[in-house]
Amino acid sequence: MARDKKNVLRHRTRTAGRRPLFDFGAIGILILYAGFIALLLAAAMLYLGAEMRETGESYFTEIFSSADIRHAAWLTLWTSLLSSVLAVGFAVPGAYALSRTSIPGRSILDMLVDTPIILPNIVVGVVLLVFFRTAIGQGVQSLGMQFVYAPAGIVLAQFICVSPYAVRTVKSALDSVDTRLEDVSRTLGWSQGQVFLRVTLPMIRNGIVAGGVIAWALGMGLYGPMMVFAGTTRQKTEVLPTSVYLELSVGRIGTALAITMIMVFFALTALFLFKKFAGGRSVW
Amino acid sequence: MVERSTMVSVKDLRLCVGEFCLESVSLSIERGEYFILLGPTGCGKTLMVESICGLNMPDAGSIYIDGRDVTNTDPATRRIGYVPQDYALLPFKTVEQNIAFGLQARKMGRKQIRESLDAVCEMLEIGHLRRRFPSHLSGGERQRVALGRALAIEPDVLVLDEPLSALDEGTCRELMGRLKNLHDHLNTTFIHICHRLEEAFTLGDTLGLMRGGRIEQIGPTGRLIAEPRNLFVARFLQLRNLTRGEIRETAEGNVFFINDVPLCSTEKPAGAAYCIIPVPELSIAEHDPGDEDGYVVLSDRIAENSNGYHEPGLRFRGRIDLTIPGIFPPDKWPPGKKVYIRFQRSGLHILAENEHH
Repeated sequence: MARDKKNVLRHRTRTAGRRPLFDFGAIGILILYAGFIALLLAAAMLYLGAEMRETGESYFTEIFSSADIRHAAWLTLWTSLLSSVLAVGFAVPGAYALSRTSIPGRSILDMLVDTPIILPNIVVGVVLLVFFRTAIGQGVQSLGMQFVYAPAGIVLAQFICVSPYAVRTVKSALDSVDTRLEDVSRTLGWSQGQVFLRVTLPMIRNGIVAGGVIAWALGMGLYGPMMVFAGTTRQKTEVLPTSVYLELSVGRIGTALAITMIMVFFALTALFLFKKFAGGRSVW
Repeated sequence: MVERSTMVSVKDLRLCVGEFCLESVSLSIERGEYFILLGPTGCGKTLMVESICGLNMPDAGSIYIDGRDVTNTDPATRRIGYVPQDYALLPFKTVEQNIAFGLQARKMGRKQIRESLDAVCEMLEIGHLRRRFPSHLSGGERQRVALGRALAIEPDVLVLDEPLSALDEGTCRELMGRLKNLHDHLNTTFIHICHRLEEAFTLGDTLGLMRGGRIEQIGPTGRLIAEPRNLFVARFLQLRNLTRGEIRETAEGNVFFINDVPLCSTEKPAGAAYCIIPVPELSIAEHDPGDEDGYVVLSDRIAENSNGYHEPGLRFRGRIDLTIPGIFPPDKWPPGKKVYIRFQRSGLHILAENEHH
């Protein structure tokens, strides 16, 4: 949007008394960090290239022709997409409640929503496993939907782990919306619900897309809770991160790296989309 | 019961936001009136009009619009056009989409919307801006668009929250004229928050002055100027005909004195006090005009003769503290010259220093 461009321009304007050394210091640290990440990726690629030359084997052909890996890739894709959609579906009303209402105990609710961020992912898997062994959990499963060691469990685990990130992103977008816009719209004749749909939602569209993309990217890379809660059964509950683990466990580093490269491609695509839609206004 | 001619009536409104409270505020605004709500920053003006608009739920009290009790009704049904201080134009909609936004809420047909749009754009001369986004408008243009959006719904009451505060002097004057024109041509009640006196005196039929969540005084502009209720009102309105004196107890009761000259009797308590000398009743002479029943003559030296563009007048700072507005030729009225100021005893308005109401 034009306004964003204007802000960015203002941001970049040189002001009097700016210390080039100060800027160079900051830029240097940034380059050092980003360079390290690039180095890691390059090392993985070089290693993979060397492996392929040495063995004469194409790991990419191998993984694309493997029914197991294809299944895992497809499972990873649809479960992470579904869980990110669910996360956004929960994040929009959840973030609205946190941003716009003054319910008692809001800070406790806020903290609870954030808990999965602090917990190690594997603990989420353990907690889920324990929950589905209780009477309530078994009651839920007896209704017909299998979660433990089943694809639905993958979606559930991803949903729990990525939702807080979606909530944070959407809430940050909501907090940046001037509530005056909503107020004026109400005096113009729109009800609270209509104002949400016609004013608030268009204003936070970028935040919602950004929240969805970050949820998708994170969900795709989840590994801990899958191992514990969904299992690693090939062609059933194996997702790409568990494929990497399974390949590594039998010493097939090349295949594991090739799968990793595919995941890096997915992740970079997600990040690119995220940066494009977040417009620099998001927390991430 | 609210009278039919009353458009907005607020009764004993109480509303607390954090530490700040509106305390038992009551006011009544007549149909078609231009009402100015004045007061220092943070006195609760915006909170007050937001309550009238329905954007703040009062803790107690009631609000009537056109005879209807709207205290608990949705802002959407109040028929109020609201222009907030920052204009709050929807950034993702063009000028015409912004203006049409309220009309769409009323389920108006396309043809009707277009007709209303044309009328509003013509009235406010914003036709050339129709396809622009708010980020591509100047402050004055944004203000006109926000005004257009509020007026398009043909509201009973138009609420303007410091509409001119962010504009340069020229644009401000132009819009002031425009607002006056609009008020003259529309049968709409205006509520206008401001803190600039020029704006208040030029536009307002009635002024309401607030301080610390309370209304200090409400009345026709002329009455507030002639008879401010207390020293705060007089000082806020920067009345230059406010002269310091004192009230003394005498055998005939309490009397207001300036420099040992008794001016008029008063019921106010003894002590430091001020009086408002009505400027139209006041005359100034080089020679003593002599005593006359019902008149007071005070003599003093001119402290300053400011005949520039800004607030011209004669300033006295010696025996009396007074400014007489007007242009006085400096060769005839030089600083240091002794002159005689004559005014009617009956027109004086006395304010005790520690008086609040």
